[in-house]
Amino acid sequence: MVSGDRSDSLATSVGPLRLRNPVLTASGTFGYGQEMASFFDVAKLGGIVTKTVTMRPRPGNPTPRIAETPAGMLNSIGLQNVGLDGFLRDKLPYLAALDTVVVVSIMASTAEEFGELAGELRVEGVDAIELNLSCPNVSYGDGGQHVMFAHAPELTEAAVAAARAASDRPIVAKLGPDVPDIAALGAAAQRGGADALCVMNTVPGMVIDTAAKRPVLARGSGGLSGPAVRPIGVRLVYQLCAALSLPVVGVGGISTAEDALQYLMAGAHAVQVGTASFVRPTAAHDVLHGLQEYLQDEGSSVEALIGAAQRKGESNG
Amino acid sequence: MSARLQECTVAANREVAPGHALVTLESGIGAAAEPGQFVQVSLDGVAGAFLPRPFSFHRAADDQFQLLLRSVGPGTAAIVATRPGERLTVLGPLGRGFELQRAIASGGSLTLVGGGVGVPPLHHVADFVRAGGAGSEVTGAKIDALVGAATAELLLAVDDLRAIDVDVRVSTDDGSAGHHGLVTELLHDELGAAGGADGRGRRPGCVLACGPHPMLRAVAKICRHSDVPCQVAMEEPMACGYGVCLGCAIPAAAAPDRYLLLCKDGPVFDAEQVAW
Ligand SMILES: Cc1cc2nc3c(=O)[nH]c(=O)nc-3n(C[C@H](O)[C@H](O)[C@H](O)COP(=O)(O)OP(=O)(O)OC[C@H]3O[C@@H](n4cnc5c(N)ncnc54)[C@H](O)[C@@H]3O)c2cc1C
Ligand SMILES: Cc1cc2nc3c(=O)[nH]c(=O)nc-3n(C[C@H](O)[C@H](O)[C@H](O)COP(=O)(O)O)c2cc1C
Ligand code: FES
Repeated sequence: MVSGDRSDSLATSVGPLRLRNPVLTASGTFGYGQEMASFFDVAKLGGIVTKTVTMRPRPGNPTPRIAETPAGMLNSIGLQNVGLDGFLRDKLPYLAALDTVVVVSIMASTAEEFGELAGELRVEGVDAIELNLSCPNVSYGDGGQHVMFAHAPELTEAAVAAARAASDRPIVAKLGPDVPDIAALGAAAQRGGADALCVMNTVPGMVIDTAAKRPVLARGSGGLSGPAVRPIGVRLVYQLCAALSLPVVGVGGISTAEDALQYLMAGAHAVQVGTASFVRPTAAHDVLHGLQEYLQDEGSSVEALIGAAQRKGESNG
Repeated sequence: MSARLQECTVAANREVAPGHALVTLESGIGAAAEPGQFVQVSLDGVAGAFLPRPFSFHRAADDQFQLLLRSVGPGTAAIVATRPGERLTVLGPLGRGFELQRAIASGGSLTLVGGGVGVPPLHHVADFVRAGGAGSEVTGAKIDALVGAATAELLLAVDDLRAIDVDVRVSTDDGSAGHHGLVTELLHDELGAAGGADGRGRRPGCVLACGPHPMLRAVAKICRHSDVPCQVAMEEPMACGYGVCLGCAIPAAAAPDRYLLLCKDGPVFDAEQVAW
């Protein structure tokens, strides 16, 4: 169990957001918290990030939506969610009553709609907003003609700025991996007024069923997650932290404390556990427990470890 | 939800047909299990089996439960190869099982239709009813089973079912036992006879089915034609198994863009809920 005696060594902050410990859950892998409560005390985590919420409910993509891959999985869920009203009515009350930080992930098809959503979420129980600018499994813009927000600095900046203007909550911009210059996207989010970055969303990928001679997923491609993608995420966090002062939350392939340490040492101020929860529903708890043991053994603290590898490694990308 | 994550010891592992193992696990997970519910077996460390693998209960008691599985890939091969004393991490019981009260109340008798490795949850139904799990008043309810497989040696659990007073008819694709053809043809025949003038059969209160998707689609169609209620236990790739990844969606009959979650709303559905 995670006891309180050394809790200070676990404390961290992500910009204005103070966290009891650096372990959060990744959007879309932990439901709205309540689904996980029978496995462990979810309030012990540093924070809970919700499944991405959109203005209106979304049914999600056609099936099949998932495929296993070596040390990971592809998903093409398509942001199936209960919509803003359903979230506020049915999901938020449970989260709001928990003694931990609640981060609501949101996604919209235009910058203005990001602003509207962020504005609607200025309610009790919402501690921060994560902007999902990088879901690979949906279309963008009104007619689907735009590229993903996190593929274009100007779209990223506009979406962040709209949310910033509408909300007094800390704003975290979630970026994706498939860009030539992650620092340019991070800088755009910073210009828009983001308090922190979250890196990374899933990596676009495809699996083909050779017997049927077609992609396994109904939508063709999907997003890769799990241990297979971890080195990609660690490198992106390392690059961002070398280039920018904005705090970063690291996510991608974390299933053990050792994995989380890699992200912290790359410069992340906190981490999120995603796909690992599907393999072991207690994964986030286990990562936290392992980190606590590590810090006790080392006589160290999270704050002392953040960016430790930056100071020793050459930033030769 | 009362699902638990537990390390279970393999108490026994026996080959019951070529490539099929009946695995007995020591665990309290089965104590609250209802027929049609399932477990997720973690294979962390087995190459090519990153995600846990779902299996129906074949039999469940307070201190142990059984899985009957067919080796089709790395995950099932690893479980089939386990020896007594080895441990497996299991999450369960998960999902919604058969609504037995409703099934039996609506007519008194049950007809189970199982294809291939779809037999385990139906065996669990019969075992559960006979043990009084569905209420003492229906312990002796009439249960028929139609079991199909590719060949005679791949027919599963037939003797076990007969031993608990289930009337079993079998079919094989190659004609090596029973009806030469599909198990759905047996069902067609049963329901036809039940409705017919010869009075050979009694109309079942409910049909419970599990097997490959095309078989379930055919079963649902036959039952709809005969106006017999039908519940089906379905399969779909899963990740979490407990309702958060939204990966196991299947299209609902209600609307083309509405989905049911196999792991949470199912794996058992009323056949009318599903868009076939
Ligand atoms: C709710 C539920 C209950 C289940 N209950 C049982 C059960 O009681 N007994 C049992 O043996 N299986 C059962 N299954 C199927 C079982 O989960 C899969 O066979 C297993 O996940 C395959 O894992 P693998 O790593 O061995 O093979 P994979 O590498 O995942 O698959 C190997 C190949 O076999 C195919 N395949 C997958 N499943 C099946 C299947 N069922 N039959 C034929 N081919 C298949 C795959 O498409 C792939 O081509 C159930 C599935 C679900 C969703
Ligand atoms: C099934 C599934 C659903 C996801 N849904 C969302 C989502 O709704 N919003 C989002 O920002 N990210 C979503 N993600 C991405 C994760 O939050 C995370 O960024 C990514 O999976 C990498 O982390 P991991 O390897 O630890 O899973 C989803 C990932 C998976 C596997
Ligand atoms: S398998 Fe994850 S929601 Fe059903």
